[in-house]
Amino acid sequence: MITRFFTPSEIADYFERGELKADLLNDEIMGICSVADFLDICEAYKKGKLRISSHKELNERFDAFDKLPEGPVEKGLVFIVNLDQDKLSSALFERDDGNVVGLWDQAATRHISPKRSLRYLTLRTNDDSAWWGEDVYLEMEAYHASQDG
Amino acid sequence: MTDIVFDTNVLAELLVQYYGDNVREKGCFESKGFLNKDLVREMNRTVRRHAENDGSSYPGLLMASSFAFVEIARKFDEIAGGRFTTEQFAAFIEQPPEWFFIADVDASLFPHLNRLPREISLPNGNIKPLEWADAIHAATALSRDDPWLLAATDPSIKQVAVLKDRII
Repeated sequence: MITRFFTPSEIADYFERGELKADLLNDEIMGICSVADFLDICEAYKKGKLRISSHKELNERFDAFDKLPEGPVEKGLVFIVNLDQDKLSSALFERDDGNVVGLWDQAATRHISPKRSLRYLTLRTNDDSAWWGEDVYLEMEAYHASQDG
Repeated sequence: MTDIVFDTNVLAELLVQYYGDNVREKGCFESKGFLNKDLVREMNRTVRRHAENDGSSYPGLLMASSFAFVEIARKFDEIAGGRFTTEQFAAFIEQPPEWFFIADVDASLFPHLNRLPREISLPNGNIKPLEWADAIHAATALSRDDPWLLAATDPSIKQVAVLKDRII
């Protein structure tokens, strides 16, 4: 399975128009996104940055994305990486031979936004549970660097 | 029974007391720092119910979003201040006490975030943005199936309609 970063603009596109890029539709490539970027859609809506007219419509689009059988998550075209207890325990720390030797300072720093910390932790590929390619993390960094710049 | 969802400051105080004041031996928290009397009473009830629970009823949980731990990690030296170590922090996350639950940050929070306003109207007429972190803690509470309280340190959050009467 080939994986790639599923960008915030692609999430917004699906919420607004129900559209996915063609490469995700051939069952060979899966889009991977951080829950940080997925939840950020709520912020985008509240700031008036989405062409969605009401909370009700936003919730319907959420169901269409995440819950309905024909949606991209249920069809396995897009995977949202959550921050659960195991992922937190694995990604937040640096270990040597299993022993904690410190916090992972790329995310555990106040020099970046809390949202970015969450994004880094979810997509970090430092254990077997992170089955997606390391490229996803690099693509995420590059995407957000280009947006910030 | 009631679940109590902690924001970052309250969670940090819990960790300080858990590792610094021998809560594990004494079996109870004390009212200080961000832990007020009402909250401590409910926390100690929950801990006691777990100790005495025979499985016949739900004893309730103390809980925080995994994001609250991320927030502590972002300012670890300032918050921990030598009162708990990185190793203890990691150990708590890996195996929290039976009365504590670490909630996922996942897509299920989406409709609950959607229920929260972008800004809070204060009694004095001022407008204050609802911080993203506070929104995550509040959405975590709103997502609970069981009755819940939110232990939040920002007093303005009481002005959010869906949280009113749930702040402890």
